[in-house]
Amino acid sequence: MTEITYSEVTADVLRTLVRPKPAYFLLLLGFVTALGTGVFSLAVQVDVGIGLSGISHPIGWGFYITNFVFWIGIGHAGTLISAIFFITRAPWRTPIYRAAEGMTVFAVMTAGLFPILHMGRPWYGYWLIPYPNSRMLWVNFKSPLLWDVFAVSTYLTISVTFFIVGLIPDLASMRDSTKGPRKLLYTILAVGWTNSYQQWIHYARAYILLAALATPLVFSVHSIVSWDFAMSNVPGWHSTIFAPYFVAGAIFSGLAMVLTITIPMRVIFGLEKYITDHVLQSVARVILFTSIIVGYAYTTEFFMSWYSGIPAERGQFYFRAFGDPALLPFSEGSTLGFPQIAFWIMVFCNIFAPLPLWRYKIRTNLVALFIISILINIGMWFERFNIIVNSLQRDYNPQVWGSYTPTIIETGITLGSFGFFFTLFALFVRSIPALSIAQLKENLDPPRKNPTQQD
Amino acid sequence: MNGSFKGIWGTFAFMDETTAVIRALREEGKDYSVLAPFYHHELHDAMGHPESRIPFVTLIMGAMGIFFGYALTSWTSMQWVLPVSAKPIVSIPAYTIFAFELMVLLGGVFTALAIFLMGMFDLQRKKLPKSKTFKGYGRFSNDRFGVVVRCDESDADRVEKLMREHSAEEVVREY
Repeated sequence: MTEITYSEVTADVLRTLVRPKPAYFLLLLGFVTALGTGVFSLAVQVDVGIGLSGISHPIGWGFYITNFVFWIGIGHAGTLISAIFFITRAPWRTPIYRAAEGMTVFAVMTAGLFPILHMGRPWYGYWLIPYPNSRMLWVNFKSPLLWDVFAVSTYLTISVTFFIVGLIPDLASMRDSTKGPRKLLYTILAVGWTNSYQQWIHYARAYILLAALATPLVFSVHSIVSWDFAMSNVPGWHSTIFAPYFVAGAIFSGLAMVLTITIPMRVIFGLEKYITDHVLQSVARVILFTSIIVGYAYTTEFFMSWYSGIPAERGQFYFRAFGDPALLPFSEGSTLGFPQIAFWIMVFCNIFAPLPLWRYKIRTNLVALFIISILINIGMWFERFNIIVNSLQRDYNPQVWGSYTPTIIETGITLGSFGFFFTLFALFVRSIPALSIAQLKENLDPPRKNPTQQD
Repeated sequence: MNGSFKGIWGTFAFMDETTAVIRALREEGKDYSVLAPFYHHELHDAMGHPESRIPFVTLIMGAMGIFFGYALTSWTSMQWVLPVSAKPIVSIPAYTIFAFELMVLLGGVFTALAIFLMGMFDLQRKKLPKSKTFKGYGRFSNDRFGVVVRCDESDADRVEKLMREHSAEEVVREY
């Protein structure tokens, strides 16, 4: 990016905040419609009760917890890109890190709704927080569900903090580039940023420290989410590989979502100069790498269930792929149904769909990348469904086996979660610079009077 | 008026010229500030690697987070004894998760707050011009570097000459 000047960067990024192409408004309309469907479904559920969902004994965790784990996973890529790739000095992260951070914040906000919506009485959600109360009761800190409360709320707070800190110098740029009421707004939001080195020195140091704090947080959050399952005694859940398996899956799905949002962003706002083919193919390479880890984890799960010799474990994994073991798959009376379809969608989308990314031509083809990213998002949603719902259908005791059929209300709320996430993201790219102006400039070669001299 | 600031400021388009001025001012022991649209290691080198005290804030608040994480969980467990199968009432491995999360939470949030508090404190110590010309010059967040020197009027000629020798685009005196 040596030929780009500093003022060009400012102008190009601020251009994304003026009126976009009609395609943007069409997309926004679709997102708001999905959000409206979700809000309506939720209102009906709150009014009538949790009985409107398909969750019932033995499947207590259906679509809602599947969505929770899915959205938390999506939220991983932002901090991975903004913190881990910052510490490891991967220059390709710069043009996409702001969008990925925004994505993280909105995905974790979306995820945080689901444990509350899943409760029978969501208005008592605050009981999860340890606060002094007249009943002299405290929460159970030994429960993995409470670990989740702390892990997710810390992750959301740190993600928002990181996002705001990165935004301050850009808000100062906007303050200096606008006039009228918007200037006043950005002056307030820029919290007195002067671009002086008295501030930059603290800023640069703090940014590294925040990245260093956020790095283990990325790994801890999904590990803790995985322990919601691994700490329990359900076949298919009680497994030591869950933490690394979930973290790899989270990075995999999060980066796929980064492609899903940055490719249209690049096209709609004409950001080809910054979100280059090299940037997108670098993301694709990490996706390919994590796809291999995820595929390995699937294989290990099956191997461990067979090698353990535990009938319930073996039965669980057979059921996931082929239905109940008493019947031959595809034979008359076969129990092959939605759980097995979910399993094979997961395998296809997460193991086979990313394989074309080995080819350079595919990694640099926007349409192919976009399609693969969508397939991975679908595959990762079904992975969570497969782990949560399929496991609960076949417990140790065959007398408590059951099946799960999602209701239209659950489907509506799930659709609404996608609407909520994408509406927030669409509004974000129109109101805040979706690329970091200051960090893009930092990556450019500074202008020199004597170009041969460099410190 | 320009408040308590007395001195001279200049704007620069080139990184090498800006760092040369900074080095010259540092050698003369002048009281100066630098403005730039981004953080750059060359400017930091030229200024002689000034250090931030923010790591102390992170360390102290992170340590407090660890303390509160263990203290809150252990104290509440003793206040309301909740036997869960054969698990100990105060379970250190389980409580380490809270210690870790609160370390990151307090360390991170106070690190972010410290950027603005320390920056404000330093700006009080090393004042920038408050004139309309300076405040209206919006290019320090866009494409120009700035050097502000707090000096007596008697020194102004020499500082201005130094800036002009290093291709300063504009030099403004404020007395």
